[in-house]
Amino acid sequence: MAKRCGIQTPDGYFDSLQSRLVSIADEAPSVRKVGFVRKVAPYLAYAASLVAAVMLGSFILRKTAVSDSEIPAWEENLVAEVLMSADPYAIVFEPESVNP
Amino acid sequence: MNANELFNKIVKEYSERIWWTARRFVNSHDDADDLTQDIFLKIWTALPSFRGEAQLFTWVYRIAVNEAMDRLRREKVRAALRFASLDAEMEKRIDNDPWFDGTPAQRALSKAVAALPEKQRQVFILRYYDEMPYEEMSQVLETSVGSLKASYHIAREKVEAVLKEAAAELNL
Repeated sequence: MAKRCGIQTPDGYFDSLQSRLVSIADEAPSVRKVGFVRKVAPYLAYAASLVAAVMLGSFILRKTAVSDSEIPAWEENLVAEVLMSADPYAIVFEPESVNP
Repeated sequence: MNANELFNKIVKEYSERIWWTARRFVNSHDDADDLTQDIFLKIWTALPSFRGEAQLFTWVYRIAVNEAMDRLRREKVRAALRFASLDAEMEKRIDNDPWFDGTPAQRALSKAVAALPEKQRQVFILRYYDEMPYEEMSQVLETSVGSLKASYHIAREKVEAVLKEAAAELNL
């Protein structure tokens, strides 16, 4: 039996504890097996919300992405210069509208 | 044996032992009472999933230890939200326990155990207070015997160090 090490209990405590515990079976909802669908439902919900978050994120990114025609010409020059200094073998095609 | 009969058997055979284990974890008579009821409610709910693959005792005890640890984790979070420390609250609980009638050394032992890290506390309570064999504990805690022995050894050293300090303060 467990060591008591100075801890006391009221007289008759464990008898009353047993009675209260036994009544759990009467008072608790009847136990029934959880079906497969109910078991996986939370995981399906997580997966669905993850997919929804990815789709929403993609949608937002597509809507807010800056198209090439919106990039000012001077920024294109800057990129081209930086690219050339970073990688001498990079081939940069300058658009016809940009002055060399 | 139907579910009701099995549940009644579990209550009759294990309720007192489980209560003592719960008592060691929560250091309060009322909380141990509460926790024990939660444990048995969990046992009742989980009964359909018990297929006899583990011994009844280890299955029941595993639920008990897991519930106790879950409760302590929730208490730790609640204490943190109040900017308090669960360790400090446990010490206060042990000091003010109206159902404690032991020696100062036993009180110091309770405090030292309450201050152990989670895993070491579990192992120490089951080994020292419940005198559970390592082989049984290995099935309850789902940890190897070697690992449990190592944890117990470390826990014991920590507890002994704290008790020596406490003894010096109490001039024992």
